[in-house]
Amino acid sequence: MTTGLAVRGLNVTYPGSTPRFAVRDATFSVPTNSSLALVGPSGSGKSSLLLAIAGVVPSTGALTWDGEDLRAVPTYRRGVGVVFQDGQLFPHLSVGDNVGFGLEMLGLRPRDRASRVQELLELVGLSGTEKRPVTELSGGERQRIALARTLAPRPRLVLLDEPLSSLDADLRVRLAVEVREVLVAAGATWIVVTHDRAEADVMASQLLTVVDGRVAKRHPRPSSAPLKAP
Amino acid sequence: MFKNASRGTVAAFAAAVPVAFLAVFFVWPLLVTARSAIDGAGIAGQDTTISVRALGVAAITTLGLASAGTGLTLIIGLPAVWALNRRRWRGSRLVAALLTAPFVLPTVVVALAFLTVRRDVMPFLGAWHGIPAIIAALAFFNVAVVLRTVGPALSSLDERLVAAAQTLGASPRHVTMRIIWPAVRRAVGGASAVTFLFCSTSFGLVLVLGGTRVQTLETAAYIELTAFLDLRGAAIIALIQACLIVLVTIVTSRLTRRPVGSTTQTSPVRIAATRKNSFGIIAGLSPAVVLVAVPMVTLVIRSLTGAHGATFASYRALWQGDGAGASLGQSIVTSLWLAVVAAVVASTIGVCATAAAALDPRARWVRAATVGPLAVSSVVVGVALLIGLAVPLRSWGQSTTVVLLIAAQALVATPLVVRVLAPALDAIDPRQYAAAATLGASPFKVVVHVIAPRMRAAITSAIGLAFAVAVGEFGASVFLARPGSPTLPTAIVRLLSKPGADNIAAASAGAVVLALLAGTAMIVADMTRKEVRR
Repeated sequence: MTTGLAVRGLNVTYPGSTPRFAVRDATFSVPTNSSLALVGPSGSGKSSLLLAIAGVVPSTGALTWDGEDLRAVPTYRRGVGVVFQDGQLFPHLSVGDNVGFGLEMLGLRPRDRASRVQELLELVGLSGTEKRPVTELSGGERQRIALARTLAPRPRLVLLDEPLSSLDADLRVRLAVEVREVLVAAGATWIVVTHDRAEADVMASQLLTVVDGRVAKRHPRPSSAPLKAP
Repeated sequence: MFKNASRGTVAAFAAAVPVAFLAVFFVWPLLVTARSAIDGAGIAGQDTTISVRALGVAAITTLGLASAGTGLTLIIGLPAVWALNRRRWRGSRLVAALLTAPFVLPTVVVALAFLTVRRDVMPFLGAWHGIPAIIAALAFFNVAVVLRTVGPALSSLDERLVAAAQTLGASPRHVTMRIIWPAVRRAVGGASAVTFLFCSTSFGLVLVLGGTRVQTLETAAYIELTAFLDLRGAAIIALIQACLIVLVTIVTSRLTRRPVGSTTQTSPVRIAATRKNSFGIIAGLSPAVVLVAVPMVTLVIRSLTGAHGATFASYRALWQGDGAGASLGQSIVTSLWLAVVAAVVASTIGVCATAAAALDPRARWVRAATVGPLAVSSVVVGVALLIGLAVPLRSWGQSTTVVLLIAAQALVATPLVVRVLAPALDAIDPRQYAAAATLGASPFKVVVHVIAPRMRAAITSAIGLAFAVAVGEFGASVFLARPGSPTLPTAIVRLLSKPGADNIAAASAGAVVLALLAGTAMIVADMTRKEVRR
């Protein structure tokens, strides 16, 4: 039995009168405590693949975690956290309430939630921002909060969908390193989707190319990559 | 666009038109009515027959019916909103258009449709003096308000937020309570308040379906005038109604303010419906579809049914020179030309008010003031015009009635005209005026070559909308129209008070014609408005 995530022959189709494949026959695995980057051009199907793993979009094929069929588990019970492209922070909630959202869903008491929220905010370098409205955050801060929110309920797998694409180039490079450090510190297993090969090198230990919905090729991580794999 | 001085002058001239119109036909009559209500001045020798108890009962009935109407509207409307907006599915736009269409129908048409349903299909709606039929008719009208107010809020909820909540462990119940409800609660509050406002001013529905037995403030004012010739009593009731509606309007405007940190986005991602969603969609839509379709289908069938089966006799009778049909045919002509003139007047007032506000921020109050007649209800407008102008000028004869009918219909239509024109004018970037000026365009040429072409579609749309409102206007017209030359809605209601199946059939045919006139104008207005948006 494969430990961690195993994807076998996964298909995702776009809805419509003539269904079109967004992802076709994807097969790969991500062992526990490892990381993977899915790299490909826009529209290649990498985000659809990620959302299918999270259960946000329907798929066919096999999807297991430690041998358990994930496709039978609804999204909210999968334990798969997603950092969305533009954060998707809940604008009607404060920073603290956003980070604590997943903990509230787990039924944690407010006091326990507060300490975990504090811990996560410290981890992403934004201590003391609990009360701030998320609408007042900068782009970089929003993505850090999105990461903290995803990590708070301790998901077994973290999926990052182009988490830095909405930021400017300088910030992207700096934050890529920071995000990776945070994920390593949290002991996470993660898959990151990006169209930027250099960003992929920084953020994950393994690389897969996705072209026209097909997972093409596994690349070794280049030796010049600035960080160690977890 | 203009130098400050010339800009101010043009704005002042533009503002003068709506200010003069509102002063003569709205503010002055209201002041006279208020004074008459307080001390009987202007209607010398008049004493009121209305008691405090009767006033209290009418106020409670008004609020009770409005509450029940709002409740039923939400019960039927919210599941329909959910079914139409949570998922994409083929045909949803068509169903939404059909469900929102009733909103543009004249109240008399809807009232007659429910009267027909009560008589021919569901007699239980006639229990308790027809109150169930009134409440159902209120919901019929206002489901469109819920769809138009809550629908956009729900459909602009970004599905990625829902996905984000799900990936954080939120169950469907949690998603509904923590993500979807915060996104729509303001809209639901706003829709409830607007519905309550409309339900409180549904004079035509209550009068036709409840007769004299169900007395709201508006029908009580009508009865005081028509049954007891009690002008002061009507003035007092109109004043109370105006205060009540202004209060509800203030609450409404507070509830409809957009919240900070909204969960809705301008380019939302929505996902397609699956077969699994079909049952929920059908279950959510069924009550609304039944509520809207049954009365309209019944009305059309009734208008096509005679003593010996299917017939066009009722429609032919509209144009024949004998019996009840003759007055209906004449009233169609009367209504048509009155509505055309009223639409032109309303559009002129609307254009002037909107232009004045755009040219000079100090003139914005003029634009806001045009909403006044809507804020006090059409019945109050009718009573005020009757007491403030028709009674003092009664020696001037028939021409006064015609002028006041046009003024009443224009007053009721102007707020809607402004609502169409203002966004269109605001959408023109002021830098375009500057660009034209730097290219040598004089202020006049800026208006002709830059503003007018951009506003043409909006003005056409506004005229169509104003015509649709004017042709179906009943609340104010019923107080002003003379028995010899009624408008179509007043003729239909008068016909209903006469016994006989032929009269009901003729009224039904008249109502179908009225619905077609208003509906066609509204469709033209809507199509041109879409052109404006493009």
